[in-house]
Amino acid sequence: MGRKKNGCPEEEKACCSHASDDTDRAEGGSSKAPGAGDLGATIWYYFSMGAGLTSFSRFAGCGAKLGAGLLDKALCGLSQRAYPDLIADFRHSEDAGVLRLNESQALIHTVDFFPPIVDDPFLFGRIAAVNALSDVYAMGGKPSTAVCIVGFPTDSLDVEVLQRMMEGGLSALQEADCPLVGGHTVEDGELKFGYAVTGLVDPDRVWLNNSLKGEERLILTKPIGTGLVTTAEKAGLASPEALAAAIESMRTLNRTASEILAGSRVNACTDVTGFGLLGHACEMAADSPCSLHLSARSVPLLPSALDYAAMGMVPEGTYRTRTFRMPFIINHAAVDDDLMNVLFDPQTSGGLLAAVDSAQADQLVEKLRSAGVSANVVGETVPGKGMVELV
Amino acid sequence: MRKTIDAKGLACPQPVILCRKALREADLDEIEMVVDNEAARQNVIRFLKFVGAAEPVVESRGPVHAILARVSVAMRDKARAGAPAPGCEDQDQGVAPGEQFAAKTMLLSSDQVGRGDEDLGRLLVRGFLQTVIEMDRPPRALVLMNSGVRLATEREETIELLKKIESRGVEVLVCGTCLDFFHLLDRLKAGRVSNAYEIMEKFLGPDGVVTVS
Repeated sequence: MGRKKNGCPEEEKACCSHASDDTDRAEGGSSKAPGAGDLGATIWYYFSMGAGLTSFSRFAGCGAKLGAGLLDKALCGLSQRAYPDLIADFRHSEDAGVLRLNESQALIHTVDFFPPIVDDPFLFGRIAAVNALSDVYAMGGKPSTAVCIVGFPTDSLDVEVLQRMMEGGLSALQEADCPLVGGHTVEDGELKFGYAVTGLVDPDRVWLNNSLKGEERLILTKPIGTGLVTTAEKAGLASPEALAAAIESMRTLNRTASEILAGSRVNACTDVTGFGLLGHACEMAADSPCSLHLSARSVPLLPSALDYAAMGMVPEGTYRTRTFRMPFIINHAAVDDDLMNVLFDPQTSGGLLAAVDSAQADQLVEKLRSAGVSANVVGETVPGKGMVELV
Repeated sequence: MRKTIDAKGLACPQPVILCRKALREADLDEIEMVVDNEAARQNVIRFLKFVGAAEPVVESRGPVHAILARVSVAMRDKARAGAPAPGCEDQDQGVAPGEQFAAKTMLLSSDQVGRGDEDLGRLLVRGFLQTVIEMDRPPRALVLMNSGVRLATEREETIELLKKIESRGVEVLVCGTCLDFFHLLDRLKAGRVSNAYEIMEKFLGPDGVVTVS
């Protein structure tokens, strides 16, 4: 997904976009593992250096992603005949493809895989699964099945590593009540891991990205800054608190958030991934009969994310998305340069950005919070023409 | 002194890591960073300003940018503050300047680190030993007790790491009683057999003891 509707080059793709955006990513970073018990993140940080999975990736940061130019060339002009039951295909900039099966069910289909973003195999597997499942939740659906996709370097990694990744992935799939039904492995010079996931949704209640009506408020369900923290970690500068918070966020399913949001009317929804919060907000506003107000100061940030932006720990994709999206943003002056880079920070396994009925927003946030979701109202729709205004 | 660092072809955050490392390691008057992508250009400038540089001078030729900044003492101090970058860790406790070792004895009393998950524990111990090798100032001594002796006898990958640690001048002491208990006395491949008296001397000596459990 992630194409503009004509399927032709237009969009400068952000680094680390989720793979239903057709692309891979490699973000540096190591991690405090779940089940590490009393081990502090600091200790893990020192131990993981030079020993973990990310050191097996040739690519630093976002280098693994297929370049935007190449991808655009490959997809330009690609079209298929009209299928009457198709709700979203590769030409739409949606989180996943959707096909109507019958009156009450539509199939959601998505795929997502990437090189290691953390050093611990269990955690990497888990985050890969959480990230893949997220596209289903972002469409308002429930995951049905998952198949695993693995590229594995048998000469440099022990098969135990694969086993741990599978276990990590399975821990997330089980939490999502989504059976693992198979997979495919290939021998690969570099480790890659992820899932293709299907899900079901009521065809009348598919949450599209850009179907705003004009009477909504925006709820964000996770803090932002994972790209900055994992980049700082790769540079050996991430604090244990920041790293632990980023990992906790990345390993958390969007299931609870999606289910609670489904209890009220959601007019548009996406998960915050490769384009960063502002990039996805722009995508949501595009072609809408309204504009968005985004209240930069009410956006929750991971600890130290702003500091890392000031220190130049900015992933490459941030700059590309920024350049591409700036024309659609009003009032740049409302936020300083560093905060702007956090707002554009590409997220791995980010939260949901949902546009809900204004009247229900406060109550929803309260419900989400009492269920343990870090939810905040970060903006609202205003009269306008598909722009995002920073306030 | 002026130093030029060629960071062409490197993805973020590598150019910034190199820049920081250069500022930390040498008393430079000027630093020039050569990069060949826009993200690296912006990030290096951002970092230089973060540590207090005046607006750096940038010369661009096509995609290649040469970023030149004057380095002040304050900048060097700021680059040296905070968490160490990989490969240039500083010990800041109990070490005289120029000292080759940290004044510490490290005790590993298990073949794993932490409790909760055995696989993770083994992965951690490997990472731990690897990191000891990479420290600018490694501990003066490493003591293996209880199942920790397996690291020097049965596990190939940790044996290699322990050998490297020894080659950095770190004393690796392996508890003889423990080797005997596990019937591993004849299989010691790294470090040397030690006894309770010597180990106790280490524990009670002036160097601090760090227990990794």
